[in-house]
Amino acid sequence: MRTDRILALLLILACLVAAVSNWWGGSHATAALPTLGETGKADVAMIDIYGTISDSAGDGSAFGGSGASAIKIIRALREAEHDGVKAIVLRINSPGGTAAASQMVNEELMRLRKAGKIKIVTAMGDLTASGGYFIACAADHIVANPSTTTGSIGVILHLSNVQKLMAKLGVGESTIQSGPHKDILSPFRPMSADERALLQGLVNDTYQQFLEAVAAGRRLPIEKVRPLADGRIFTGRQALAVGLVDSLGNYEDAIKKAASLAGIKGEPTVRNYTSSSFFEGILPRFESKLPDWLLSAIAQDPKASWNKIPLTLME
Amino acid sequence: MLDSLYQSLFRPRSGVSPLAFSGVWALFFLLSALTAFDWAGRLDVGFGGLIGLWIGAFILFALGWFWLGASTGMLAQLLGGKGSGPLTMQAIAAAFWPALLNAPLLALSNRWPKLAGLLGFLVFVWVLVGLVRAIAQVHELDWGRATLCLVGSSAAVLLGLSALVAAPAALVAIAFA
Repeated sequence: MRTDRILALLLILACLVAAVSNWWGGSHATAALPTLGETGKADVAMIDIYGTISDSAGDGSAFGGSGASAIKIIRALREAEHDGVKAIVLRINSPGGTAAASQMVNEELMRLRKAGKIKIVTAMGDLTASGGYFIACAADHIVANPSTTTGSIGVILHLSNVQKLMAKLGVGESTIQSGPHKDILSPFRPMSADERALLQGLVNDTYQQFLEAVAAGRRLPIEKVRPLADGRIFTGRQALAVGLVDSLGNYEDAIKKAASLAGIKGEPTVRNYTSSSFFEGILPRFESKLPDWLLSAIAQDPKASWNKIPLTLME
Repeated sequence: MLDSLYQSLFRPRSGVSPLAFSGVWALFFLLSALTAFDWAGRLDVGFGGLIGLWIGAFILFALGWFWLGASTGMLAQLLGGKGSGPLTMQAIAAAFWPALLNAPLLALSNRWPKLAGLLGFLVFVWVLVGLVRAIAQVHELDWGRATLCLVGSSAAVLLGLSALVAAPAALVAIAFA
């Protein structure tokens, strides 16, 4: 082949490689904040908690959207602990999630905090409410933006009753069950008083656990937390006034605080423990998925109900 | 196709080398792929989304080329041009070779956004100059009339695109009014 054609072909290949890297890496506008020390020892571990929190949120498989997986967060925390980081910054932007998933992460953070070797700082984003706050309160220090939305300390159980709709459509429904309460969350019939009492007990117990976690994390008496935990939301500034957060600032301020608490001198190296490895980043690209902005509001709530995950700590 | 690319990028002074129609489709296939990868990265879509974007981009490129080529051919004839319609369309397609460079420039923008922006603007100007040169070469027009022809045909394409969007929207609005 002639030299000019080879050159032309090489140029086409180079452009294709660049284009594919634009797809895998995302564009400049969507690039994540740069971090130093992607490999090797770092002083500060950054853990991102974005989206609805559940036990095993997907990485964007079709119709599942994506969210914050408690299992992945705990894995990242343990990896950071194993690597000997001096501080952890949790970057949280979440409306909440399931009770158990949020609690799992909270307990892991409290374990680390009690061990005393690693300082934990939360950096709140636009929204750190409900389950997001359940996780955030386990930190040694919480930094929020003045207009961050936080709080929503409470438990909610969403139920729908489609009995009348089914009747209009002429669709019947019947169940055969082993016990009277097996279909307790059935959307096809009204709830009985007994069932309501049972579910209220469930919600109350979960709420009590949430309250105790906030009291332990914030080192406040429960009596002081309870009036704030009626489900109301706060701005970052309001939360500071009532003791739910410790200072106002942004992500960079959280890094500085983490470095200061951990006694790190000079500029700390930060490593993101929740960014995907090269192979983890490639494989999900080949799954069909719809973009998050199409799915996030639609996918999570119905999925939680239909999968019989009855309790969500959500705003 | 490779000859046309080489001449367009590495020997621009020797004029535009019109692409055979098979080469035109290959060029649009390539350009739409690069555009699709770019948008797939911005929108953070997976493989399925990428394919959808690729098809959409290909259709848009093909439509745009057809309209631009057709309107340029007609305007050039009005301005005294001597070239044929098909040759106009082949030459116009060849003028878009520099647009390939937008992919590496976007990758560059992650590190040096201002430099990438400047180079991107230069690529844009390069394509425009290539288009004017193609029209002048095929229709034996001077640069002034060739530029006028390009401006006029671009306006026609924009009007056509607007109509493509506005007309169904207007019909829907009327139907639901």
